[in-house]
Amino acid sequence: MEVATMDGQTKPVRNRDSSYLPAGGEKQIFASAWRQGLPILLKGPTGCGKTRFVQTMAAELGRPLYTVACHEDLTASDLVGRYLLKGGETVWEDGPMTRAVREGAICYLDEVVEARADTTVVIHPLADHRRELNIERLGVKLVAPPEFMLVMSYNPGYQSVLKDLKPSTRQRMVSIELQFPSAEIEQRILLQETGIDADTARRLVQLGQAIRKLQHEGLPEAASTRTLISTALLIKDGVPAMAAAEAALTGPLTDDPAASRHLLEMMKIYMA
Amino acid sequence: MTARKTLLNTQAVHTAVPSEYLFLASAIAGRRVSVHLSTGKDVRASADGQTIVLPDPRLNGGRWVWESVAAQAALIGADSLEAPIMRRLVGRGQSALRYVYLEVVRGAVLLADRMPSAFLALPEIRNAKARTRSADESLEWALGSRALPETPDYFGTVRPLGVLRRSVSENGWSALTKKQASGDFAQAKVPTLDDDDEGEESRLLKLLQNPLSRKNPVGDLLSKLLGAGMSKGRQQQDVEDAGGAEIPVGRIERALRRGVQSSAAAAPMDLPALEASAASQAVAYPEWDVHARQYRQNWAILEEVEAWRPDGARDMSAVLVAPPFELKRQLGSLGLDHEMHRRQPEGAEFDLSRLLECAIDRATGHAQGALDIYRSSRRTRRDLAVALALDISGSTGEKNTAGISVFDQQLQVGYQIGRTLDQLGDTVAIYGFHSWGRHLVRAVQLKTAEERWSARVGERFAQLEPVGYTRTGTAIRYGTRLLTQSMRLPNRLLILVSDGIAYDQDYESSYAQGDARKALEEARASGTAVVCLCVGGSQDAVALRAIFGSANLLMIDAAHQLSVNIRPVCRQALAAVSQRKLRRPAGAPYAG
Ligand SMILES: Nc1ncnc2c1ncn2[C@@H]1O[C@H](COP(=O)(O)OP(=O)(O)OP(=O)(O)O)[C@@H](O)[C@H]1O
Ligand SMILES: [Mg+2]
Repeated sequence: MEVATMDGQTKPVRNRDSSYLPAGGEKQIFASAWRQGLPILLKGPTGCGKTRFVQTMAAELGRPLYTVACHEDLTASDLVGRYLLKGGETVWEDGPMTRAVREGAICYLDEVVEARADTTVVIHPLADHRRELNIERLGVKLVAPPEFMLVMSYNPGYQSVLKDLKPSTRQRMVSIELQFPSAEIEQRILLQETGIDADTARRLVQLGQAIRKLQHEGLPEAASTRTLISTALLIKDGVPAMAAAEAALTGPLTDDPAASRHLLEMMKIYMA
Repeated sequence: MTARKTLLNTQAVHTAVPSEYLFLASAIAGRRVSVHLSTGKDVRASADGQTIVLPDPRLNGGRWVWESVAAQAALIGADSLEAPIMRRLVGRGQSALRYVYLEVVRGAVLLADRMPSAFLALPEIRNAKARTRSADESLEWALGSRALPETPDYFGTVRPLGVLRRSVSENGWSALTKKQASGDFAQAKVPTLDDDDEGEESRLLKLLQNPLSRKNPVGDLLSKLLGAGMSKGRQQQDVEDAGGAEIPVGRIERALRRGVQSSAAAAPMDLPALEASAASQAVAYPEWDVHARQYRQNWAILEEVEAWRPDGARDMSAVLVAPPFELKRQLGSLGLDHEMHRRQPEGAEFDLSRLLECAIDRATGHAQGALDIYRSSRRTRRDLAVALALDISGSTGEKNTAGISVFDQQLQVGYQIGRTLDQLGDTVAIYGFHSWGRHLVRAVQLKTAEERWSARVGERFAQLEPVGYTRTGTAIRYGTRLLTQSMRLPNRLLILVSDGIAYDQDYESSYAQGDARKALEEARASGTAVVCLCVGGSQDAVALRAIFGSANLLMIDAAHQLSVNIRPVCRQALAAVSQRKLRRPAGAPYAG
């Protein structure tokens, strides 16, 4: 794809299909769980690469991927499917979960802790040895083919304990915990994802790793790999490093004026 | 009385803080540290594990500032300031500087992933050989005589006494205070005890070689301070020799507190590079002068710090035990609010999406007489924010007859309440508080409101030690401010866990009580309920009632009695302010 940039020249947009760089044995565990028909629970802070990891694995295993972004009001029918009223007729429409089961795909429930308890009930029989999906409204039970896999992610740092997964759901899962990558890997990710120069990548990573050590009021979230990538993309596109970091790295982190000011001062030293 | 003031006021402290380096310092150190300016003549930066003290910029032209911050933060981040090492460096100025050289270089390599590139590119760092791989190795090198490059000024230095000062307990201080007050101390004429002494021949070392009397509180204090650094033989001698050297108390006090008392800024300055205004890390609170019947504005300076003891974490397995289930039952019904429930069998309005589903079910022949088609509001939502303030002053370090300290019982109670409320879904912040006069009130962060409960909370508890004094009013104002300005939930509860003795420099008896009472009034006026919890039984019940009123006071003999009475006290306090809230909008009446 080609896009026009501000100066009127055209540049190729970055390669969004580049793949996930592993930090340890997570790819092997994923592939093995898939072969053994076990569901996966992915843990890790937001922006640490969970989605990218699942995408890469789906591609490597040659399976289609259905992703559902979960939220508090997600109902069982959002997952399984529902009858719609169309011009006075009622028509059944498969939900993403049903489609994934039918196609032997990988079904990825993103941020599953946000889901309501009654939707997790649907998940249970799919996640345990039965591997079946109960579609009450149609009066059918679908048995998932061997290629089907359920993957759920959640961000441990953020929800209240009350909303936690039921232990019975949890025990059925193989758990993979992703962290923010080490400095060395994160630098390689930046190079791979954005193509900026090594020195800038190194500075950005040092800044990111430093911010992750901060525990101050007004800084609820850490600077994620995602924000480092956005910053690098802006720099690559011609935005001066300092402005890019302010816009894409420190800006999104906090609204607290004191914290922003302190971050800015810190950033100057790292990017100078 | 005046004598005591002299003792504690030897150096004035100001609040101006080079706040732009706050995050840099904390990020490299890997824990929260603050940055202060020295009022003294130091030309090198130093740190005590919680605070980095920069030289007065007028002395060195304000150059090399962030580099010094980075170097000192690296010392903290690389664990270079551990007590056993500091003890061996006391009085050895040259070795200390050599140690700094080796440790800053080691720290820069160790922490390279999060150090600024610009620091790593400094010639003294870039061209340095990595000679040592641990702090112990650096110490051996430093004490030896092998040649090393000169330690650049901007690396700063270490002040072993400044670091060790933190292990002096309240008892040490009050003994000193009493002696000073009774005029027992000879002032001056005796050698200086100060980190500034240079060389192996320092007067400090000589002083240590002189027997110090056990009866002399300073001797006591020194042996506590130097711990393993003093040989058995020497301590033996102490006991025998009752007439040991007297040390001028002002001097020792200054040395011990370096990094704290001397860590002041030199006034709200005419130096644009180092701004002195409202740094978010230190906030000035007012105090009520009951005698003059007016506020003293910007009086008590409170700073948020991270828990840290120079001797490392304690084993807390006997203290931080899981809360009893009964506590959860008791606290479960606090602070509930109305919440809309869908799919209810009865209620004030229809649940439209449910009705729609029913219509579809009907059309597809799945119809069953659905009853759950209403929305109703019920009192189930937890809208409670709780701030737990734990008194960690030296007086809580005293042990009861069973050998358990009030301090540990308070930590246990605080931990259990915090854990329980967090499990119930409430927003909980926990901090410890202590002070050394109005310029140095500290709120030690144990759990922030945003943070979810984790093992880290317990790790921070293990880094607490009972030192300093109690400025109750400031602790209450800080908690109120957290609840009203950061946590902002409709139901707010401040639980103060204290031995009840409000006592600090220039903060005692009627003045202290008057101010604490005033702080409570302010809290209630802003819609915050305050409860005081005393564990250990030995408190002055009359004084406590005078401050808190018997209704908001819970006194228990031991931590395990907590569950019995906590609910009625908290409920009553919450109910009292929720009535007020109707009359008066929330908002803190104080500056800050
Ligand atoms: N190990 C990695 N290899 C390649 N890219 C990575 C890696 N880790 C993170 N990224 C990049 O970081 C960005 C954020 O990753 P991703 O969207 O997968 O995060 P996430 O964990 O799913 O976040 P959220 O919890 O917010 O959904 C993406 O651009 C991704 O390419
Ligand atoms: Mg994602």
